[in-house]
Amino acid sequence: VHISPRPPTKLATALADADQLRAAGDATAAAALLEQALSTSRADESTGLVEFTLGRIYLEDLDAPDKAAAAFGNLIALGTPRGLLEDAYARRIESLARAGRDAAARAALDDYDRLYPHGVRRQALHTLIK
Amino acid sequence: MKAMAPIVVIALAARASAEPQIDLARCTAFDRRALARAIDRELPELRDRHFAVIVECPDLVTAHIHVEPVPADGPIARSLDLGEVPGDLRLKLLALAVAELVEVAAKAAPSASAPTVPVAAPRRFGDPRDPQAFADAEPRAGTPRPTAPSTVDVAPRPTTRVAAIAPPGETSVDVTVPRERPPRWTIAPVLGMRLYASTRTALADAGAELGLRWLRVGIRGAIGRSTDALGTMRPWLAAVTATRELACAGWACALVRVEAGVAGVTAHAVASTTVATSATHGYADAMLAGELTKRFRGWTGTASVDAGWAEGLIARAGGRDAVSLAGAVVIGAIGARWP
Repeated sequence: VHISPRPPTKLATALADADQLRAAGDATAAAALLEQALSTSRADESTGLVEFTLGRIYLEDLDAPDKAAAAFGNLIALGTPRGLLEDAYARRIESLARAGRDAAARAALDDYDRLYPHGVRRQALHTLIK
Repeated sequence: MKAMAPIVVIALAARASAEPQIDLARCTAFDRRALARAIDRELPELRDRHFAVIVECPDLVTAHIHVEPVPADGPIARSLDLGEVPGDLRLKLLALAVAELVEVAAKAAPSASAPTVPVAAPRRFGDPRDPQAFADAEPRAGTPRPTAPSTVDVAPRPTTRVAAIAPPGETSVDVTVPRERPPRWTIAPVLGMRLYASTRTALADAGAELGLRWLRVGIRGAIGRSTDALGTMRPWLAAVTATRELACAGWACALVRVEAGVAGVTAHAVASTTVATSATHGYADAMLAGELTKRFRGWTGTASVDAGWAEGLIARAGGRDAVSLAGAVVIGAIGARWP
């Protein structure tokens, strides 16, 4: 019987490195690292997590809501990890609103309401998109 | 911007008592310090809110998160299937989910004011362990998913985040790391069967292991019965064991185990004309084992299969090998481990 831990994938390694860069204050380098990893690696189970992290960096650290919306949209298109899917929908709405793309934000909010009628972010999102 | 750093740090320190707490005491499946660090990295900027985020991880692939007290807008909770991502990214997934719920809770109405957005039906929050399951985590089938470009350019950084200009210790949210440490020792009784391949000798097996940080030590006894035309033989062995984990992945571990002790065969002849001689001999074996574990509240169930090679004794009857406690051996066992 031979059981050994699976070695980290390229995306997982990039994610760990990006976390360190971000913690050190270099969010730009963290985002660039994740973008490069996504463009040069095959999609795997780590991809959704990388897209979500990238979206958070763009939205929270780099004030790039358009790029954040794209990253969250990529996770939504992947559909995994499901545990972050509702957050990805909500963050995409928030990103679109901050980017001034009101019509897209409203359409995304309609999607959210339809998919998550009891969503934990419903109240806050409706307050945001009035 | 750098000149503002001391002011920001002082303001954060003054707000420390109003920060959310992350309770990891019920997350026993992970290294809590590592989880606390991962969460701390992901937490949003601090807000003046009084709430706690309770994280429960009954096993390595399940997590339940909820916010206490329940906000006026309704309960905030989530269940996660951590098995969706590779093992080395589960802490990351859990940390992100916790950070997102902190963000939600920070925006939620803290008092009993009625929500202004009508909802189809209130969610119930009777059971804090799994109040929401995946009901809100998975989109309904057939709904269109938005698409987005797969690559985008990296924009220059126009703003500086607080975490980037102040020491991490002064900007981190008060992540509660319980004082409880992983147990220094565990005790694990096991029951099983062992089979010596050459003579198909089967023995019932029982023992107990004391688990220390790097090694498990234990005692093991086994007894069997074999009937031959010339008589009956009862093989037995008593041994001490030492076990070391080689590698673990999720709930599966590979182990190496050695046993050393005494083996014997007690012989009884069926006829008075037959001479039966009992014997004892030193015994040792070395095995590779695969072990599966399932964590329950307060204890862990185990199932293992060992395969290896033994040096012991062989009892013969009428010139034939009748009972063997040597050669290739396989052991299957189940057990329980506390705490």
